[in-house]
Amino acid sequence: MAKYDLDVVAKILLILLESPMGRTALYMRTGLNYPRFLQYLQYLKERGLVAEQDGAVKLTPKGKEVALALEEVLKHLL
Amino acid sequence: MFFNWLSLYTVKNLVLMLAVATAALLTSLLSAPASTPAAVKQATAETPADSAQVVPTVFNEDRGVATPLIAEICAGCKSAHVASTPHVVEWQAGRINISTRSYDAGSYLVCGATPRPLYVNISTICNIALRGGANVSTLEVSTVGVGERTEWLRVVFLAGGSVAYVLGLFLALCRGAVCLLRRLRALLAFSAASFLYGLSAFLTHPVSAIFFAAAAYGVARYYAARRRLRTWLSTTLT
Repeated sequence: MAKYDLDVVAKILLILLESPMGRTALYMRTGLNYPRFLQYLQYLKERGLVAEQDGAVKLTPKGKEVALALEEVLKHLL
Repeated sequence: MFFNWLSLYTVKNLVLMLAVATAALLTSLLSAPASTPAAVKQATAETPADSAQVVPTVFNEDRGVATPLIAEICAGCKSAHVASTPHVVEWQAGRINISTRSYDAGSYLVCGATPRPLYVNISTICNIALRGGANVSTLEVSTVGVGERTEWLRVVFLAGGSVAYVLGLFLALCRGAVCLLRRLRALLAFSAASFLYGLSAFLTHPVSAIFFAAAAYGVARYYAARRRLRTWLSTTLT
């Protein structure tokens, strides 16, 4: 089982919190290699945090909730 | 607007580290050795106006070469009387250990300084009173031998600190949700800048070691934040 860097997960969630985007655009912003990016995408889909719709990757309501909470946690930590 | 200043309130640790890094930068720049001609001028201007000005050629005893003068007015000097020929030289020295071998040898005035490793370019002004005459002069002494050796180190630390400082600014000046992660990294960059600037200033002013503590605080905050973030995400995702 592949290990997932929680920093990358956080990054993906925060990127998608800004706006939904296409898979390629998201891949470019994460800075991962493509196979690894797909693994992360699958990981987040399995947990019901992101979904793909009409060629765009977007946060599910649960994903949005987590991303917003993550944003708050980060603000608190900074 | 590119940068929302109101958001500074929510990033107090980052602002704190930015302030510390900036203070360290200023300290590092201000602690740079004064340029020679200006320092000499300033120093000699403080001697009594009615006395004859004797500006001696200063030799560094260790190196045996005439040195450019890097002067810093000493405070709390202690005085000593050194017998020499043909004059008796009364000198005061502070901050560095000037050896007791100060004497007037013809047209040369040799002042042997004991350089302290690391504390580079620590220099002082010896106020010279030649008892043989009415001459009152000011002699600047510098541990140039040591200064030359470590001056490049100061520059390297200063340059490294500047790179970290600019990187920190680059990471911090952003907006959006992802920006928070960048600002977390900026905390580390500013800590590195504080450390390097502090190191640069420490070479001349040991008090600058206080910036090491600030840098350590920044690094500790960064890793504490990362650890808490990972813990939070881990529990949220499982």
